[in-house]
Amino acid sequence: MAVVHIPALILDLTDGEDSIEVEIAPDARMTVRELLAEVERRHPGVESRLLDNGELVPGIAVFIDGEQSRAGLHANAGPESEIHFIPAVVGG
Amino acid sequence: MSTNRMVSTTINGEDMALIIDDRMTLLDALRDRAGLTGTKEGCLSGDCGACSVIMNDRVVDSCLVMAAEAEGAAIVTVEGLADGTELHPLQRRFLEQAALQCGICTPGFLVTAKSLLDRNNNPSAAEIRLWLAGNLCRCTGYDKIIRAVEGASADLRAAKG
Amino acid sequence: MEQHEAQKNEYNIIGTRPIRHDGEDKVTGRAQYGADISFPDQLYGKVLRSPHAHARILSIDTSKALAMPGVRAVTTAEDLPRLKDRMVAGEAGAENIRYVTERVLASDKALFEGHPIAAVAATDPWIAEEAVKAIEVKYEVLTAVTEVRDAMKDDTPPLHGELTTETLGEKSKKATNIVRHTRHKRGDPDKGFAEADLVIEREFETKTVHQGYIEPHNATALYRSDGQITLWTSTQAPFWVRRDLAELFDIPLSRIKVVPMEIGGGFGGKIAVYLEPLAILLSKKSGRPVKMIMTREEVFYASGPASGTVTRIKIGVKKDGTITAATAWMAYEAGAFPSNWAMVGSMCVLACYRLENLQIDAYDVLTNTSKVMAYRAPSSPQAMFGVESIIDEIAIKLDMDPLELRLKNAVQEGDRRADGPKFHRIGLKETIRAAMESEHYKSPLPSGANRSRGVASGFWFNAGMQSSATVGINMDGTANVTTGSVDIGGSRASMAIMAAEALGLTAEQVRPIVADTDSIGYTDVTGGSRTTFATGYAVYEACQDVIRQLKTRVAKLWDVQEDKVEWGDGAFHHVDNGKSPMSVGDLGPKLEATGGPVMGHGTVNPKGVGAGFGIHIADIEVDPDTGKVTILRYTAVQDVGQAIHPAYVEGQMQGGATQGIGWALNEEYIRDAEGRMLNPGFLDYRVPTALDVPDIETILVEVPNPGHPYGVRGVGETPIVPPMGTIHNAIARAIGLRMRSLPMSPPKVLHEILQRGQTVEAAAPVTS
Repeated sequence: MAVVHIPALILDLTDGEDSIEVEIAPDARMTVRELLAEVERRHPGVESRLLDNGELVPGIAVFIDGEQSRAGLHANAGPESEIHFIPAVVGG
Repeated sequence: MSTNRMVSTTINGEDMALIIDDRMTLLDALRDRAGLTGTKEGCLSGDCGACSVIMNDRVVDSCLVMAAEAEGAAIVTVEGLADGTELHPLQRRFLEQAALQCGICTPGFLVTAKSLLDRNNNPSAAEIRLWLAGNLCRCTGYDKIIRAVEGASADLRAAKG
Repeated sequence: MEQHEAQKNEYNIIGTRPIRHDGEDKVTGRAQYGADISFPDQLYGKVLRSPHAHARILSIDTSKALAMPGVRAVTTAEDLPRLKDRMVAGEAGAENIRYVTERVLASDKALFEGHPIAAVAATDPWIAEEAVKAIEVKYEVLTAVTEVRDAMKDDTPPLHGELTTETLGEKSKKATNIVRHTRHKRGDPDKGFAEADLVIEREFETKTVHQGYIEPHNATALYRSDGQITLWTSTQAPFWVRRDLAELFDIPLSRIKVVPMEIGGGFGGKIAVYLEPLAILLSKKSGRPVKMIMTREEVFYASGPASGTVTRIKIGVKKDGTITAATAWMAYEAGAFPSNWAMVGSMCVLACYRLENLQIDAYDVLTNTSKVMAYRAPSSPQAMFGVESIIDEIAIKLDMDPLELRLKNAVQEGDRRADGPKFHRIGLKETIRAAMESEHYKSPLPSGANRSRGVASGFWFNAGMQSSATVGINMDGTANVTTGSVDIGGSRASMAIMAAEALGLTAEQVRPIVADTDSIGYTDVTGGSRTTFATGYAVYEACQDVIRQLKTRVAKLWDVQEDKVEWGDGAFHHVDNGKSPMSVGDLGPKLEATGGPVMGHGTVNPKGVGAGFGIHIADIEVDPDTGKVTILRYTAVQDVGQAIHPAYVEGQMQGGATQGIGWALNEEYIRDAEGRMLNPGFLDYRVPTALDVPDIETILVEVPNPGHPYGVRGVGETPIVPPMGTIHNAIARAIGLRMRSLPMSPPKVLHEILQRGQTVEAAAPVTS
């Protein structure tokens, strides 16, 4: 099961469910965009808060298993993956 | 209005004649007329010490001295600390102790510390901190600078035998 | 130095303390900083800045200035392209290019004191100054709002009129000064607090502070007749300056070359463009190189300081010290344009603690102050200050050792950050233990009245991002290492050390070079504590590329298949020991005959960033007659991963601690009712001098980062985070006062001492 964590500000769209499990076959991969489409199918409205014209809203990054993914929505997730949508941080 | 004049001065042991604008500070004259850009500008108000030079055996903030006042003066800048390719013990110790990070305050610290060691070849850490309190360093937290000055002081004493 | 369970490799060069390669130039005055470059035909640029923190610009008349002898060009916002709304990459996430344009030169409204209105280029700096004064601007002065509490009020007019609050992809209906609401939530905080034996909630305040780099901003630009632009400037991020300029002028990147000069400090404040676009506009108009340098006052007014903040923190614990829940409400000054620092702070505030139940709400708030930019571990000090205070209060109330309490709740590998993802290998627990075992912490408390000891922890993410490096092997087997990372504190030496380690050379046999944007592949900012990690990683990769190429040459020389050649211990070996080993030094002279030059390339965008944690310990004394706090002894303990050049790691810890001490005790923007800064100079802003700090003792805890070939984790930013809480807690333990507003300056401490009779600590909300 891949787990998509739902940002706290849109928990009202998932009836308070803060993580959504999506079945991925053992050797299969799904892109983050596909996972998000699956979440959207179950909980309409989530996509429109995370995407702007089909791209991630500015300032938000995809994290897979604790690592910021450079590929963003195109990144591949596996059956054990954890996906977060959180701000990208640089530093001083 | 601008008035130019010539100032005769000795910089790092060499006689120099500089054509200066009356509105120039000594800092401007050193950097823009003598081409000695080792002396740095940090605040133009005498608060940071980045522009410290030795003028007639006293440390001054060259941003607070008018260039015209340099007439007949003997000035030492950071460029005058080394003896040819032989670094001054302070310079060597600053390198060995990692007493600089960005390095912008380093010329001012070196010049100010030299004037301390010229007067007192065995200063305590407290005396070093007091003497250097007019020089700001934002990178190092001063610790390694104090260690470097202590080291240079020991080197100078050892060299005297 | 501590040894820990993680494997610690034996290195030859890493961990030694060679002389930095740029050191000679920097102790002799030869190093060329931004202000040190000059051209015979250069003009001097000066900026006309708004004297008002908030005003409508009714008219700008530059005719008198233009008519002055010696004035060669005047520029205003009219000369910048008017760009449509478009989000472009910025320092802390994306920003609207329209606001970048407006920040660089005001067109409609002056939104902060020092906001550039026009710029002048003249044949000498005095004429330029006179010309600036000759520009006539008519203003309609508006009410200035500089405090976040005021800016958030419903009846405060929104600065921009049009901006709404963004709540993750959704915008508010009404215009407001609240740019963004960020939330993180886990578990059930109410339930957690109900299970607690002790709950403490407090409000904290911090003021605007400045990075305080000694070198003012500078820029020298040459706009050529063919449209090519060369810019010499002191910046942490030459490639970002190039990107920002290309966006602002709407031109290709290839038309701009940014030459990074030596840089006199930055701490996050020398990333955004300020003078750069103005110098380019003036050079374009005059056809001459234009040099501009800010005064110290301009630096304070109009560069990018760190947010003033208000935070409300609530923590609940069991009697045994286990934290059951924590919440944080945080509001951060954004300055006059949208920024993201509360969002960043929300990800730091509770980072040190393992939490099942939490909620964090953070608000970025527009104010009539210069746009806030990064400052060393940006947003973390303001966020963690309050948490560290409450943790100390809890420790006192539970009669627990404050480090024991922290250890009990400390995060470790696999625990979740407040914002969700799990931590990788981190060394907070090791760091707390090292602090507990330190000679300082084990020593008796300082004896005497009004003296005590405080501790606090600190956290920073550290960054990865993109870096490029090339390594060229010379004909004698020495090497040149070129990167795009500006050296702000000794990184050339670190690059040389890592290359020497990888190639079997000495640090002195490697020449590290910082290249301009025309001469090396794209490289992100020197910041985020990423340079030694990511650019070091690129150098490592470039060295591996060199070794791969050299292996082919060795196979050719030995007339064997490549798989018979192995690299190890700084030399190539024949797997069957049939040949004498060959070092890089041996191969240099043989390159020409075996195929020509060898040059390695490394480009990275690495994962595996290792977060940084630190614990500081301070012994202090409060003078009850003046309110002055004297630091008697100070120790910084930090997980630094593998220290590449330990002297510069110590230096980062000592310098970061000292900046934090300044923030804790003295530094603040003091503003009048019209929003004007009253202390825009080093004397009155009061950064620490050598007399204000003691020796800063350092304890390097080395928990190698498994995400880096040499175990590197960033070290530069974490050490500015703990000092505020450390000193605050020491004051509380010394005289029983919790100073919940920074800075804890003598007048404020004295005021609290005098008010003591009326302050009833027990009235604070404590449940049990």
